[in-house]
Amino acid sequence: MNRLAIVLIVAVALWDGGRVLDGGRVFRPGMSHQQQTFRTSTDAVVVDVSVRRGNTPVTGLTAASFELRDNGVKQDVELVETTGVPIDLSVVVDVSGNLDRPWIKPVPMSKVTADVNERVAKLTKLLRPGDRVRLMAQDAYVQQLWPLQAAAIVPVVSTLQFDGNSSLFDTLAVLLMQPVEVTRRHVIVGSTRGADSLSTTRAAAVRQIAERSDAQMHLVMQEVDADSEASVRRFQCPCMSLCFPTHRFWVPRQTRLFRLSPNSCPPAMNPLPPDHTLLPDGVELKAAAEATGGGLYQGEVLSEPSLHGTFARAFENFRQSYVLRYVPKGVARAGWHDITVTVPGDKSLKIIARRGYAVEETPPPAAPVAAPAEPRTLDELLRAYEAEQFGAVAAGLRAARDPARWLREFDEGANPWPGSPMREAAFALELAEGGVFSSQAPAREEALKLLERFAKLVQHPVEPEMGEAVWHYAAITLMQGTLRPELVERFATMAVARFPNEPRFLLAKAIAADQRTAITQRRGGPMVNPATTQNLDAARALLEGAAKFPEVAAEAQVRLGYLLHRQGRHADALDVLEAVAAGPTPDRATQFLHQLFRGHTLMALNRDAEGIRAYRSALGVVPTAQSARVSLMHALFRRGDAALAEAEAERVQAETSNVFDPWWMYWQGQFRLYPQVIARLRELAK
Amino acid sequence: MVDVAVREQRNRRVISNLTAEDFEVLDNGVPQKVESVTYGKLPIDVTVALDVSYSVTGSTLERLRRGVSDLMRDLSKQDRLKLMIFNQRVFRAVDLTGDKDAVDKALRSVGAGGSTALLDAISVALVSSSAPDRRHLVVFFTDGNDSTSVTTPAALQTTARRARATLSFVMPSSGTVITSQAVNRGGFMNEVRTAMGMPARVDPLYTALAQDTGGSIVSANATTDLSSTFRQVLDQFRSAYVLYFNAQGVERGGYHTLEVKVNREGAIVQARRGYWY
Repeated sequence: MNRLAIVLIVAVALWDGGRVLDGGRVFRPGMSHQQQTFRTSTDAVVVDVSVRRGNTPVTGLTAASFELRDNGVKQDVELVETTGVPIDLSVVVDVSGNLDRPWIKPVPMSKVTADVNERVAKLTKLLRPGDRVRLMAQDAYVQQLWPLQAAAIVPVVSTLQFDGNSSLFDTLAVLLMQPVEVTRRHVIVGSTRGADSLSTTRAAAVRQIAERSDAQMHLVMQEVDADSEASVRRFQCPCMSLCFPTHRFWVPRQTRLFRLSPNSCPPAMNPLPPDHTLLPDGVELKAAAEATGGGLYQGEVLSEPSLHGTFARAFENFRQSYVLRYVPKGVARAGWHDITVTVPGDKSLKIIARRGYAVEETPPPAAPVAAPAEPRTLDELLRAYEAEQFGAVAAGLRAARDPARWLREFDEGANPWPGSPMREAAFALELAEGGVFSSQAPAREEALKLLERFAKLVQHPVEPEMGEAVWHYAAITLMQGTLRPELVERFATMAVARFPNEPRFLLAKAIAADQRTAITQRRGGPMVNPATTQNLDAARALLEGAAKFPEVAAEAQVRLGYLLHRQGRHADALDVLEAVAAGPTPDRATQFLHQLFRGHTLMALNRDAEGIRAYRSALGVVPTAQSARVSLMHALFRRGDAALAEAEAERVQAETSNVFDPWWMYWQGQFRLYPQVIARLRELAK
Repeated sequence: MVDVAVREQRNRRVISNLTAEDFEVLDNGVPQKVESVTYGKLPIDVTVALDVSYSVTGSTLERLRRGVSDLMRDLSKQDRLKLMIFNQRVFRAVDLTGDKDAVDKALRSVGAGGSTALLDAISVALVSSSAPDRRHLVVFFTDGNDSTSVTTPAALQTTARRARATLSFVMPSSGTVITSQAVNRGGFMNEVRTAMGMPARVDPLYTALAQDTGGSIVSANATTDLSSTFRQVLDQFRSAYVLYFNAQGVERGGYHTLEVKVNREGAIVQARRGYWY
């Protein structure tokens, strides 16, 4: 799990002392900073409300029973059926280590994973069909052990990072900022031994995020466990001389949520009861949980709340709570909205609901910043990019005399758009484009370095999301254009690791293998024929795999057919190519190549008339394609139709159109799609 | 009709006083009667094809322009020149013409860039028509790299054997290895690697094409005067006999191997290796 990615996203929202939050704006991974915060569509606000008489939930209320005020203005509410609303449950387990643990006693992973699996199993039994659950673990890393999935079948955890320092606040912040589908409710349930030592986020910021979050949060304090861990330092050593070197050379500053039980040496005759008074950060977290309608749970005398028990109660409350919906009227739209919910008919009832929400006004578009037509510095390039003058950006990159210098400068500088890490990543890609095709080796090296770094930075810390996928796809298509299959392979492998079932990435791996069969590269030694049996077989296997996915089947089959043709397996090639016609119509380039390769294969099978028809079909798709016309010329000449062949030769030489021949880019894979993909990325990055 | 160049082995000087009786022609191994022989009389159509991809830029391109321009001046009144240029696309800059100014003008508008479709360009040049009463010489100036052609080496050889034209190459040589990122399409592409003063080790494909068509391969380094190189190629072609015979005793249709011998001691013969009936 990439901690840097987490810091990037979280710190972006909370940097500068939380000033970003003062206006009630929250950055959500995957959302632009201009979108609204929690569960407000253009019109409706949705509020979960728990109603109790003492400890007993009150049922049977109607919308008319409630009075809801938004910034003091009474609103018309409607009641949404709660039992039908499915739940997304996020479970957080604390697997951070005891900083004072003796170095000779490492905790075995099997014990940790067994404990985690047992807790999760109990919790998921409370869920219903339609509910989903994700499992998070926190120590030095914010770890998603498995993403949201149906509660009926959850994986077993067999390995995880544990025993590190704690990053509780970062973990909670990430979860609170998760977007929630309008038709679902998000509940976070977590347990903690009450310490944080690594988070970038402060507890106060967690509260501010919680106030604006769609989730409901419940936190259980594991006070007994915390006391037990602390006893090594506070009791065993001073009293019993059981002093071991701890397993850390450096102990970071630790923030505690609650006091630890006092220990004295020698032990007191009448020991005081445990004192787990909440400390300031614990108070903040309690406020955070209550702001969401949840709670922070501490032990009562001689009993500590369990994760399961807490969740069972919270879950029951959740199921029995009401969901009120209203369209705000009579209040200014932008800014923070205080919500108060009462049941006027019975003032003895205890009402628990979130305290408010924030709506960010979309700022007016900034006046376009004039950028030069051909930027000459990185700053000018950035300004041109910001002003969406992409033509100027391209001109500047083409004219750059020392692209390596710009790449280094950008890599070493701060994010020019702190509120939009995806924009930074998109620009990095376009800047690197100028480098990867440069004739200067330092520029190519810097470009590659930049892209490899951003391939990690674009990773969403919780779940892979679309912007990241598009970035990877843009990087892969760019690499395909360099005709360096080892680079394509590298980037495709990174993408597949994040999106294992994305067909385009699987096709990219296949294309890399295909490139390897044809591209001769010399670096000092003699040239080697790349079309080895090993290379061809590897490419064939990957193309066959990719051909199983409808989204990419056509192109995979066309490439597979051509590979089989090159191997001399013409009959097999033709079978594969004929199967393309049965599938959905592919893009124009693939249609053209399909017919061109059919032609080659038919000619190899001495089916000249059909081969000639196939070449003419290819020309029907791209009439000015030189490759099809030259192929047709050869076919006619071979058949003895010299006059017809001469006519085709004449047309080749007289063609003045600039229309690109798809064959010219065949070995560059899907580089032909790079302009479209980068345009999409620019949209997502706005 | 077969073009045959005959030279003295010792000094490579042209032997120009031969008659029909001095030649022996074998068509698929069957001796043929040479009906008549002409020497240096038929007009010539010369196609000069220049590689203007990124691999041929700067001063080389300028030298090429001068070489072709001077070649134009060496042509006789009945001769014609066609200028083709190619990168990934094959263009005809000037169609067969005797107009020197038109050729000069076309040469000045040539710019370099792009990838290389050499095999496609050779195919198109060979297939392009030439009048039956004229001899056709195709001269390619290229570094031998190809990255974009759809034509395979096998298809090109088939076409070359069917075509009537004679194909020659002028290939640059230098003291350093020429490396390339070339795309292999089923053949094995040797690097073009030379050392100063030594003949280039050329891709076997181009050697075979030149031999099949009765042409030649000439090296040119950075200081070679391309004007004299082109003149050399043209003179070799012009100083050739044209033998006429009616194929007898052989199956019609298909490819026919040709072997031409001369009854003159110390003479070497250069002719195409076959023809397509």
